[in-house]
Amino acid sequence: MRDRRTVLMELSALAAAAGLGLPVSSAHAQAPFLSRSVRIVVPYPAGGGTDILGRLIADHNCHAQWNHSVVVENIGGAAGNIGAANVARSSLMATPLMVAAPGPISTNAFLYKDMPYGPRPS
Amino acid sequence: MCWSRAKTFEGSFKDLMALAKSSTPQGDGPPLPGPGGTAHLSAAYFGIGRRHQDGLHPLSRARTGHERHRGGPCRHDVRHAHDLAPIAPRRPHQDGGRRQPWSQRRRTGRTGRWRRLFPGYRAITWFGLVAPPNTPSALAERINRDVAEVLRRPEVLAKLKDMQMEPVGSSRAEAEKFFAEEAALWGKVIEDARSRYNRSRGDAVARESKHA
Repeated sequence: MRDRRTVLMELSALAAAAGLGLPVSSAHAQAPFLSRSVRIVVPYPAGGGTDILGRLIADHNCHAQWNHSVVVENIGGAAGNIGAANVARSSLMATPLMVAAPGPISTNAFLYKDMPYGPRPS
Repeated sequence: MCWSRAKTFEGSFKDLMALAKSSTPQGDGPPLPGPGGTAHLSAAYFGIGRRHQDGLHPLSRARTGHERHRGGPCRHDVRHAHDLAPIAPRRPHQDGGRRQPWSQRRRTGRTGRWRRLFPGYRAITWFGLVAPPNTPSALAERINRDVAEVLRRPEVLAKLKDMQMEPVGSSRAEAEKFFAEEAALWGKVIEDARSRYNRSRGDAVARESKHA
């Protein structure tokens, strides 16, 4: 039996073409980061929408706002599953984030026999 | 949003759909970047595949553009007057007047009739930000807030708009709910497409054994 890891669907939905005028959470917890580095995984090759968004967060949030060092990693393959599995198993020390897209979050679970992680909610 | 050739087609979206249903498929059908990808699934859901019974059948591995262009630099494209390509960031083509968008939303596309013709149809290319499950909740909350704040900045808004994206900046709970809705929707589409594919394959096997 395979140990199914879980990627928790957290944080903010970034950009979508939907008519979802959702309010931003107003919680003001100044939670500390565990380190001063961030790792942003883009589960697709460089140059696409996810890549551009990942680098946008790297510039505006990680560099300018948090003053952290940041690495954007393009880990493509298996329709995003390889990058997602990488993040699911990632150490928290260099704050791991992933730019999510429909594949690894909501459709691949129905297309692939074996998922190397368990996107939540399933 | 889906796309058709500009200039070769001047009618309404309803006319375009009628043409798409009645015309004979030419070539390979609209190329799509990957089987099982967003564009493919949107097409399957939309039923574009139905007119390419041998080709762009949902989840089929038959002669379709998406098979041929798999892994290559193919973006979605439309070649024939009646071709439709679902959801594609094709701003340069639109600006150059070579393709026209048919949107689910009035403000980004040429027509608002989509909603009336296809009530309930929803195919969104969305992006989000996720973290591993053991990320401290307070930290996740902070990242959520900070990223959402950046998305509201005018220069970022302009950049997103240029890529035809609309920022949402939802809370974690809202994002989670949205992901669950998406999974429920596409799970149904995929199951439906799979059963139709298996059925058509079964028919083909039956035909072959009849001939043998």
